[in-house]
Amino acid sequence: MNQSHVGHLLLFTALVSVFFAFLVRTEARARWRFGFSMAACMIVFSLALAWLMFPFPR
Amino acid sequence: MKTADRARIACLLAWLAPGAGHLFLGRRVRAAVFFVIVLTTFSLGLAFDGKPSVVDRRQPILSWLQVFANVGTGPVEALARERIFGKLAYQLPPEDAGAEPHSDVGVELRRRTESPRTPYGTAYLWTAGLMNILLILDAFDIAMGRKP
Repeated sequence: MNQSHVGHLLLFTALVSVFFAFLVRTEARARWRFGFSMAACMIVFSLALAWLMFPFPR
Repeated sequence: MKTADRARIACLLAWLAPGAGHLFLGRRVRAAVFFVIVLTTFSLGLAFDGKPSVVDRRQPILSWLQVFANVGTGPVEALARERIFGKLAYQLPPEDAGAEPHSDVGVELRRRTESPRTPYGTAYLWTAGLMNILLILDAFDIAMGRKP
């Protein structure tokens, strides 16, 4: 976990998604939907960006 | 109590402790969740050798924004900063502007810069501060009646 990019990605995503779900939604069902959508977007876009950056290590 | 006074108190409380502004406004569940999330994020920052930012004259705007993000966490950040640097340092001492650090602040910053965990920790520290700044703005909106 200390230097695991994926571990930190998942942990960071969980914290930020829950935070924003409670910040911008007031109903429980809407919070779940928003939180999952945001987490999925963060993970997918991060992995896509990492994949795009792969040919350019510096 | 007047709406403006209520908003001011909520903002001040929100800065003093994450979620306290929401608690003052009667949003207990949100207050508890925000308290746990912001302090967990901040604690992760400390656990991963996060680097409290200091204003560096070589990069004034960027470093000032970083300090602003740190300070957003509230007094708990000041306590952590005091513990890490041995004093409340918000500016890089002039003698540390060169290649080799000389002051305690510079030496500690260099030690943390060389740690492989520091980029993660620093990101968590900034995130905790930025989250709390959003909470201050959210408490203001709630107090002004713009948000439920």
